[in-house]
Amino acid sequence: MSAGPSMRLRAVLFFELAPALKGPLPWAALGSLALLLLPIRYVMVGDIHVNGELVGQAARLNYVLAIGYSTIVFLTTLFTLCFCLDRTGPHYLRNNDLLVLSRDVGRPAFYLAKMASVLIPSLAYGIFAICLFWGELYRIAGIDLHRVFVLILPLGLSMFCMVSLYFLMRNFLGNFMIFFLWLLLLPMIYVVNLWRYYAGFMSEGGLFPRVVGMLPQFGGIHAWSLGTVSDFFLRAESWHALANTSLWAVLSLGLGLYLFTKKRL
Amino acid sequence: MTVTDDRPAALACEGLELDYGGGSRIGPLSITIPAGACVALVGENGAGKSSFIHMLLGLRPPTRGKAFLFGEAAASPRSRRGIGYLQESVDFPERARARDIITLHKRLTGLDRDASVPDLEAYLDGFGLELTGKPIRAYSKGMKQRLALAVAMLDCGRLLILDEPNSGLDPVGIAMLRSKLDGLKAQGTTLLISTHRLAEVMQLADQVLVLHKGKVAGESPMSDFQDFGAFEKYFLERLQ
Repeated sequence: MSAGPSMRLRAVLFFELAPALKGPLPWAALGSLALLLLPIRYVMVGDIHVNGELVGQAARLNYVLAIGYSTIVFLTTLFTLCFCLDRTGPHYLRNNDLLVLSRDVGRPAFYLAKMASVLIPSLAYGIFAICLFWGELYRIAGIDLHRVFVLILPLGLSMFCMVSLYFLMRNFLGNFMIFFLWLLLLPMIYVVNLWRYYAGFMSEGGLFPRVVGMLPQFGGIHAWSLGTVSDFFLRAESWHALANTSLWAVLSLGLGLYLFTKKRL
Repeated sequence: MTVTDDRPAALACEGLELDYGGGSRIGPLSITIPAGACVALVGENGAGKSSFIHMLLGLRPPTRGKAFLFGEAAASPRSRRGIGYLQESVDFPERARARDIITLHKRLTGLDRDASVPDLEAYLDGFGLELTGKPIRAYSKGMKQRLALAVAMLDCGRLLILDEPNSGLDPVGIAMLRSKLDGLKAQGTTLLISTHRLAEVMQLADQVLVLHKGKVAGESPMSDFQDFGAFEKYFLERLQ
């Protein structure tokens, strides 16, 4: 007797998902969403004067949007990395994983199930955070900014790219080294990349900006996302980041699958 | 080792080699184990026993050569149906429970749809484990080993591969394991047991296979040894 391929995939996925939904991590993730409410409560309520002049609601909304969405991206990225760490911890490719692989489960199915067990809770968390942001903005300030739901797509693409890259790197690096590299590269792929669009930083060309431009453009996706919600943040060439990140996501998924199927366990 | 009777081969490999680089390698190994046999794989630390097992299960692609399980290429997932495996070091996800692990493997093997399979509580009871909500991080080493054995034996109708099965088990656990293995032998399951405990080999195995520096250094039916001293002497001579 043997289970069908889809049933085996589902069995591995459910098993991998369960620990992500238990333990302290989901509670910490939900609790940290309180950060999201702060700018809405303190910036959108009451009158704010700068140099004696009243700041209008549109300008304040732009500020709250930038801070709020950045918080969502930061928290989702953080918890996605935590889920990656949890799913590829000391037990990764040890006893139970080897036993699963020594059954009639193909390596691609196992790899994809592991990735999905990180992506599904991360995306659910990101979507919940966006819904909360929209709801609180509506409840507290009476603003129906329904365009924020468009952010689910770029956020999903960013997370997909990040998880693909993480699992690709996990084929030949330990978790500690991946975190170290990630922290080292984060200012490049996020902050510097974002500043390219908003501060004109490094837009003059040269080798370094070209190299940074070839890295996954998480910061560029952020710029594009904000531009879809508010014209204030719109930058003409930020769609390049979507193409760049999609390419990185597909390449890292393909290469990761290839390496995993050839890997010595 | 070659087939010595008319039984079909449970496990066969031809010129199996694994190159670690830097001149370190396992093989070439050409081994055939008939169905229903109980073979002990012995050798020093680093002799290549676990790597050999990983190549058989398709977990580690060999550099050269081929391995077959019941006539099918070991790289094919189909070849691994009805095969149980116990890894040397037991390491389960810490927050999972015994119920989660057994349920996963029942689903993977399709046993969850088989009414003849005993329920979870009775099955775990057979391995001296209770069905509690305790996470695995609360288990002792011996309990983890019992759970790993329970998972390995869930669907091992054709072949059971055990790497250091006694590790961490108390005397009651060892007796339980021996009773289970005797039962499987009687049912005709092929057993391949990698161990450092020669006394255990003497009690369980029909044949012994000695690996030394990645090569077969000796093979013999256990009936050739009159007592434990003779077997130990044979083993130590093979390593020189």
